[in-house]
Amino acid sequence: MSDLEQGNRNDLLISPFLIMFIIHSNQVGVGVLGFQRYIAAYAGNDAWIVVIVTGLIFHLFIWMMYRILSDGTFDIIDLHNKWFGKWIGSVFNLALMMYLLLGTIVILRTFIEVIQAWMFPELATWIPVALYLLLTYYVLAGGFRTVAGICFFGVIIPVWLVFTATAPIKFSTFSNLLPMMDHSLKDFALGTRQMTLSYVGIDILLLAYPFLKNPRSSRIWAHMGVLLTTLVYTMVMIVSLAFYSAGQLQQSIWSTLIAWKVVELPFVERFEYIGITFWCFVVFPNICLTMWGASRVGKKVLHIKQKYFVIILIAFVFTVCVMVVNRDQVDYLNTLTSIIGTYVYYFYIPFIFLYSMIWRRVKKRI
Amino acid sequence: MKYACCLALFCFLLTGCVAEEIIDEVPILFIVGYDQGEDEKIKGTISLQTFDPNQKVETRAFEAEAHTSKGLRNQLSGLPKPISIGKMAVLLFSEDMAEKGIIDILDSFLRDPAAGRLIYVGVVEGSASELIKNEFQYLQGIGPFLQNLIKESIEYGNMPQNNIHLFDYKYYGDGMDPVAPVLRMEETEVRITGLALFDDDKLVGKLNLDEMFMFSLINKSFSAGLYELELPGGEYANLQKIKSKVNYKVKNGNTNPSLNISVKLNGNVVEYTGEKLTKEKKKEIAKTFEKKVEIQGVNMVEKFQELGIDPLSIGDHARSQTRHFDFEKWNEHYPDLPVTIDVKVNIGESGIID
Repeated sequence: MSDLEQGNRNDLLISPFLIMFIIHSNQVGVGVLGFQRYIAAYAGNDAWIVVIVTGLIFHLFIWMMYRILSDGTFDIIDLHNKWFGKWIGSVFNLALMMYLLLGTIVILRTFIEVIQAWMFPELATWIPVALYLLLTYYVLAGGFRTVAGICFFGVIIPVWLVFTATAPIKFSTFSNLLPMMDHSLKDFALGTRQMTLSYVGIDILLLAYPFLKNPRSSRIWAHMGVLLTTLVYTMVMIVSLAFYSAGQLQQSIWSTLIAWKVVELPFVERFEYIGITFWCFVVFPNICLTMWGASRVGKKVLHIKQKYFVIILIAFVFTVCVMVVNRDQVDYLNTLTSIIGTYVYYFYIPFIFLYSMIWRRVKKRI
Repeated sequence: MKYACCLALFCFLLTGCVAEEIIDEVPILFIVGYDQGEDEKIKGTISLQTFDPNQKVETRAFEAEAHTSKGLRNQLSGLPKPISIGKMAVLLFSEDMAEKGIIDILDSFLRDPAAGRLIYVGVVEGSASELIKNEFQYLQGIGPFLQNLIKESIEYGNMPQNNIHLFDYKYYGDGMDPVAPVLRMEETEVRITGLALFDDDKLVGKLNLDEMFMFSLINKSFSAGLYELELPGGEYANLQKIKSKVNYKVKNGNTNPSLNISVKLNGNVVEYTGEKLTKEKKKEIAKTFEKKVEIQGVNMVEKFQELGIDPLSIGDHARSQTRHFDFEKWNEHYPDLPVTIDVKVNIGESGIID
């Protein structure tokens, strides 16, 4: 039985539509500021098709997840324990926690790398890390409903940035997208593997599921979340392909930010500074969600009060973030996450999906 | 107590993390000119402006020599620091500098997060340094003046779109080469005299104003300023608000390529030196204009083929119209690529009187 089943259960729950914001905000992070060149390296001018294809694959993952979670209001921690027993289940759960923590560290450290590269080269890493983690503690102390609220605002507040895409269009060559489908299946597959990193984050559904009112009816909203992400990524990719020439795109580390350089506003010369500032709102829900997920594992598996466990996690994340000192290490972290993310999505989720199907069949027969 | 502690902590956290830069005190850099210096060095000239609210805008020019663009900064002794390059508007290169290649210098601006991407890159006939240090009285200073000059000739005049981003775009892109405006200092003013043609980042040729206009018409869909056309009868007609719609068609891009450029032009006659602007006359104007664009256009493309450059991005058009495009083969074919241009001119309005 989930611990939510007792007491004022309804007070802890969130409306099903919020899962859209949770999923979308956990997917979109720092990656969107510079994912273009990695995809274009394989799929060239067809990179935008890769973005859509990967989005469709993630719809499939959402479908799988809802099948996995379909009976009762359990989260993946309960299910691990139920299916694999306490010991193996705990190994799975702790691995999940490490994966979530890695997510926190990667996004936080990469975003601070952006701040240091663009705005304040002299800024010591620990200062923004400390500020962010203090805020995270504040939000987590409010419980999951506060986290969900942060996700909502993390999507709504920066949403106007979508309109800034009109500025680069003035200098764009849309024939760059032609000829369509000019790449081999292998290029598409390799591009999709690269693109996976930008889409990961829907795993939070496996933990947030029991916190939804009428969890079954939330499915449509989860799909909407992925759809929103796909639309945003596709737009960014198409604009980038048209704004940069192929060779130039490969040179640009933060393509989205560089494209913001041509936004002209009467009161500010460098629009990226506003963009990066607003990106704080995009990054923050990611940190809150992954930390929240990790602390759930701590609570259920290690039986430490969430309040205290969060402090341990924050200390851990802080230490690791400060230890990462240069761009190569940040790159390494990103590559590592990309590889682990690929395994999680293309092996672990299908595996657990099949396992749950078989398990249910077997149980029925008995 | 808890809150008071938190508040104190935050106050402590928020002070003086990084060096501050106050807009009224930081000198703003609008323009840099690069000339060939002695023994392989580059000579940089900058014009700085300080916006002190108590005084009028102050402009000063400085000069230094070094091996790299950023190295110049150290050499500029006696310069108020730090310099902000966030409003950098124009980069000028002398011709001999541009012939040797300018990407190293542009790279230092493309790499710097503080620099914009709407900076104009210009080539100066003569010395860039003298142009910046000239004593013409510009209200806003030489940097903003040149920025406006180029901006207006792109928006209202006959110059194709260009800036540091598009230069970089064409430099790193396959099947295209950059262009940039050419400037010249004359006795009383600075003028735009044409378009510089680059092979990668090296200056290899120039177009005059007339050719630049033709270039803009056939380069991509465009709306131009004013053009004076000489008619066979010796009269002149002035065309305004010329809009071009351009379509590139490359056939057999990989095997035996050929190019057709179709241009649809729409313009208004605003001045005519002949007697009466009849329907026949309008037709004649249209016919003359069509011929002129066709002949000059083909000549221009042939000139590009001889120089081995592709400022019209023909190679890129070919890529976008050919499956599995092969740039190596294209580069072999490009010098003898047969090119045809079809022009259709439509004269619209002719003013409010007959």
